[in-house]
Amino acid sequence: MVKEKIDLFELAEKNSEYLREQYKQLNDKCSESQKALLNDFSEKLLQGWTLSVNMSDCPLVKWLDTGHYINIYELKDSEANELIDIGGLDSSEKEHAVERSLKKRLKQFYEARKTFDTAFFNGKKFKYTALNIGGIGASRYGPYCIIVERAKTECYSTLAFIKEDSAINYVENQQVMLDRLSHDISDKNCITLLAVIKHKTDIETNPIEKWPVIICNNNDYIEAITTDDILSDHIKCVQITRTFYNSIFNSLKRQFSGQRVSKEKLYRMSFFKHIMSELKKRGIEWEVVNEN
Amino acid sequence: MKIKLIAVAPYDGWAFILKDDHVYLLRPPYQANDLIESSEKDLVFAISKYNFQECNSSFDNFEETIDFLEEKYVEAMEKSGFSLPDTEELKSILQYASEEILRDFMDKAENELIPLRSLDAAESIALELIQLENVKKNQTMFKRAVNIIKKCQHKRNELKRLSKKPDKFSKKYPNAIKMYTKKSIYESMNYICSTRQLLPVGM
Repeated sequence: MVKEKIDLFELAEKNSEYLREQYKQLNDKCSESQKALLNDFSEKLLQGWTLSVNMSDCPLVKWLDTGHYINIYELKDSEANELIDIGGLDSSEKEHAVERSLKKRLKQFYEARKTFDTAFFNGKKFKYTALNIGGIGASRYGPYCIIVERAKTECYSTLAFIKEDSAINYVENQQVMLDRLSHDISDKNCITLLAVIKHKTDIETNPIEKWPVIICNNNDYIEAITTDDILSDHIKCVQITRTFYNSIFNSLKRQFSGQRVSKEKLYRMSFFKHIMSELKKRGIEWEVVNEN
Repeated sequence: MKIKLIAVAPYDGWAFILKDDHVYLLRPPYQANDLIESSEKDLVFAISKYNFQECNSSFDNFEETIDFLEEKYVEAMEKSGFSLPDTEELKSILQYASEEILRDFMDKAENELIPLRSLDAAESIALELIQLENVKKNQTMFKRAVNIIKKCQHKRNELKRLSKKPDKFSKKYPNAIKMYTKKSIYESMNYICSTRQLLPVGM
């Protein structure tokens, strides 16, 4: 029996009414000062939301060079195509080869990712990013935080936000927990409602400067999914963690002093040089930021 | 202390390790702050979102683990067709250095390299710096860089001058002159003078 696929973006749109109702109930219980605070938060988010992705040097170089941000399926597909080109793989075996490669990479976590992605239309085209209002995101997993230009994201034909990480929180026993997901999802018009519902307590207990970190950090974020192409032209700015940035110049200092610099460090410096010159060429801003 | 690698991102050099029953994320540049206590949830997240692969290798210490990760990273880069950069070209990344970093380079040249008579290295830093727009625009920094070049030239002349005085020296240290060049003896003397005592005092 072939399972009917779900349209994730339609699901997001359909949840608008529920989110408005939830927000209203939450707001009704608030004091005037709490209401004002939530209003400030909504306003900040409405004005400043965009998408971000954290990555290390090598994937960023590929993104800048190819012009496209690719997901894991597209990455494995392009690797298989390269193998076919050089005669290392028969084109008829490509699908199996990609599947094998994904299984090898994701192992026990493959099932959750696959269950989620295959439950939806165009699931294998999903590009996962995070909602961002100014922080450096999940910098633990990548010293470069790529911030997408808001105006470009406004033009994406598909964009859905999920309260938590999709593979971790909405898949159980190889099934998508649709009941939960259908209430924890929003389209771009209702993103402020979803964020306020999720972070009401955090908003009240943290100063305004902390709000960007609350929205997106190493342990928690609102996932943003699109099937649209996220082109390198869409990049508004790149934030680099101070630790990583300093480490590049420490290696350079060693090199100037005639001390041994490992191959690994030479590659890092080379990628840094490449990334920075590409950003300069394209007029993309960059800044060095302290980690959360 | 056994360290078990659980997952590796070879293209990034990141890894999840198991040490004393705790999961940690180990990431470049592999300094103290780069060992971050993590959880199974972080591992799931990283494997499903980032380029991590499961791994099952054990090492006796951090040095071995880091060597392995660096080796894997270099292998991955070579496999992807990235060749090692021309080290001279890398010097141009100084153009992306913050003012603080630029000052740090000047400190290194002035306070470390010149006293150690690493004059070529100090001069090479200063020469690279004076070409940068950020340095040209900042008079104080520009003057300081020029001054470093002058100091290097001055030290070089001083060394030349000293090495041209062989008469007394050969008579005073006849055995040393048989084994070492005068220049290297002068350099060692200067280095010892400027950095430490020759013999411990009070013994």
